[in-house]
Amino acid sequence: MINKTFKNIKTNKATGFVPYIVAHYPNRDTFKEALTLLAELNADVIEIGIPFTDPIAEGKVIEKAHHKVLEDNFNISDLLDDVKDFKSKFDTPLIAMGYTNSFINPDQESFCQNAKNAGFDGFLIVDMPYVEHEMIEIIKNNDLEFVQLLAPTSTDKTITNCLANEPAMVYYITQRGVTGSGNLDYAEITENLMAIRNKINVPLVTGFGIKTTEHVNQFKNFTDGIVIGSSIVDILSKPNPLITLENYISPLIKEIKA
Amino acid sequence: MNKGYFGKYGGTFIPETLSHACEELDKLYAEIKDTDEFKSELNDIYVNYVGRPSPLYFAESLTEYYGGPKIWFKREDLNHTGAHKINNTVGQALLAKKLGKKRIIAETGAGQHGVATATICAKLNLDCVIYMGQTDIERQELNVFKIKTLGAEVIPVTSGTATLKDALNESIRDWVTNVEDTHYIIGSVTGPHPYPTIVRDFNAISGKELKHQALEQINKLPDMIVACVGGGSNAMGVFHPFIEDKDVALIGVEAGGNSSMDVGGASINDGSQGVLHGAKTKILQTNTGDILETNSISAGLDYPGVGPEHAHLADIKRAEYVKIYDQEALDAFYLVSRKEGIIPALETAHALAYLEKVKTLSTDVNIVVNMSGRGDKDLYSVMNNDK
Repeated sequence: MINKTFKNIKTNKATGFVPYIVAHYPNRDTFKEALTLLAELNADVIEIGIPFTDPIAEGKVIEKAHHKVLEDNFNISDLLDDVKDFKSKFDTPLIAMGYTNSFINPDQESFCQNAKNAGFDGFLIVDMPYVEHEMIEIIKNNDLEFVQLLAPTSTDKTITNCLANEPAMVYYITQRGVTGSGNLDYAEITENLMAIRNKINVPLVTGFGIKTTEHVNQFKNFTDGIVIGSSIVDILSKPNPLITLENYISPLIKEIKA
Repeated sequence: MNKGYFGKYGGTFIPETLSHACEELDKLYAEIKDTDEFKSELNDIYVNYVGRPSPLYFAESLTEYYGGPKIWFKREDLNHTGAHKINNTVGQALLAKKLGKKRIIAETGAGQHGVATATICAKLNLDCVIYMGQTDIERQELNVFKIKTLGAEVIPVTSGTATLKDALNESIRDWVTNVEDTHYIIGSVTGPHPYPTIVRDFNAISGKELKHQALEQINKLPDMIVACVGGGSNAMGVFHPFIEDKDVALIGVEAGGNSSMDVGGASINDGSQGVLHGAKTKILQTNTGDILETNSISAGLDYPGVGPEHAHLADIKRAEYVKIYDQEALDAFYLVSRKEGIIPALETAHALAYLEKVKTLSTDVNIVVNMSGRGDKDLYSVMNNDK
C-alpha cells in the first residue's frame, strides 16, 4: 500500500506529504476530524502517534500531547475503531508510530492482528532497531509494512543491513535531536539524502524539524516525502484547531506538490 | 541471537540516532577491557582515589542482636562519594576520554550517581550535566548541592513523574541531540547493550574483592549475599563473580514502597516483560504497555524497570528477589545505625531489612550484605518522615 502510493507519487514526479498526529489529541473528536481533514487535503500517508508514557525521541510538544492523551484515559480499542471508520471512507495509508512497548501488548502477535484488522498499513517503531529481525518478521507476517528510521549518525553498514528487513519506506531523521528541534543543517541533510538514495531503492521520506515552506523547498527534490509533525500537533492544541490546521498546511502542501 | 542478551532479556531498543554511539562504545570496551594498560589505569584510580578495596566487616553487634547467622557488611559505603556508584563512573569516564568525548551526561535518582559522575568529571576535566527529577531534587537536596559544588550542572526534570525514569528520558533526549561530543554514563545495569555489561563489569570489583576477603576472613565463601535492587548495579556487581558458585545464595531486595499503595518499585516481583529505556526486561506497566508510577521512600529504588541480567537470573532461579516495604527499611535504618554505628542509605536499608526474615538461620551461616551506600543523603527524608 505504502509502496503503491509512492509509486504513483514518483510517476507524477511529485513529492509526498506525510503528516503526523497523535492519536486522540487534543481529544477523540478533534483527532477524527483532523484525520479526515488531512485525507481530504490529499495527505499521501498519515502517521498516527500511539501515546506512550516515556517517548524518549519526542520533543516537548509531542511528549506533552502523549501525556495529555494518556491522562484522558486513552483506549487503544477506541483508536482501532476510529481507524476502521476512517478506512471505510478513505484509502490513505495509515502508519502507527510509537515505541516498542506499546506494540507488544497483550503480545506482539495480537497487537499486530488487531492493528491490521482495523486498517493500519504499517508500523514505525522509534526504538526498535533493525537487528531485531524476529520482531520485524512478526510485523511483516501480519501483512503490515515496516518503516525503517535512518539518522545522520547511521553507518553505511546500517544503511545496507537494514534493507534485509525489506522496509516499505525509509524515514530519514534530519538531525541529531528530538522531534520538533530547530537545528536543520541543509548541506548535511541533502548530502546524506543523496548518499542514502544511492544505496537504497525504497521510498525515502524526510522529517524532524520541518515546519515552513522554506524548509520544504530545501529538501523536496531530494526526498520522496516530507513529514510534518510537531507543528501540526502544536496547532491542534490551540483554539479552532481545524481551521488553523488547514490554514497552516495548505501552503505547505502547495509547496510540497509544486 | 542478537548482541547484548541475557536469556530473553536485554537488546538495544534505542532510536537509530544512538546506534552508532552504542556500537562505538561496545567496540572500544571489547578492545581495551583486558589490556594491562587499561586495567592498571583503572586500578590506580580504584586504589588511590576511590579508596579500594572496601573492607569486609563483621557486624558483631547486629549478629549478637539477632542471635542467628553471622552478618558481614561489604563496605561500599566507605568508597569515595559514599556509595558503589563511583566504581562505574570512573570506569566509564576513562572510556569517554578514550572515545574523545568532552562532555558527560548522567541521570540520577538518589543523587549518588550524579555525585559520583560529577566527581570523576571534575578530576578528569570533563563537562558534566546531571538530569534529576524535581521530586528527587526536593528529597535529595544535599546531593544536589554536592553536584553543583563539584562544578556540574543539575537540570531539573518536571515531566512525567519527575523521578528517575523521567531523568533517564531527558538524558536520552540530550544524548540524541549531542551524541557526537557527549558520552552518557548510565548509572545502573540498565539501558541498551553494552551498558548492562559494562556497568556490571565495573561494579564487579566489589564481588571480586569479597571473594578473596571471604576466603581469608571466613575461610570459605559466604552462604548468602544480600543486596538491594533498583536498576540493580550494586547487586549485579557483587553477585556476578559468584554466579557459578551455586552454593552461594544470591538475594536481591526490591522496594515494595508504601505498603498501602498498589505499586512500589519491585519490577521483578510485580512486573512483567516489556521494553523500557533501551532494554527488554521486567517492568512495572499497565496492560497496554504504559509505564506505571512507582513509589518508594528510597529515591534510588524508585524505578519501574530493572537490569535485564537480573530478570534473567530471576527466570533461571539463580538469584531470588524479595520485596521490602518502606517501614521495614526504616526500621532497619535505625537498627543498624544504633547497633553498628553505621548509618546506611535507605536503598541499603532495604537489603538490611531482609535480615529480619533470615534471623532464625543457624549460627554457622555467613551472610554478607552489600552496604551499597551511606545514609547521610537520606537524613532529611528520614527526619521529614518521622515528623
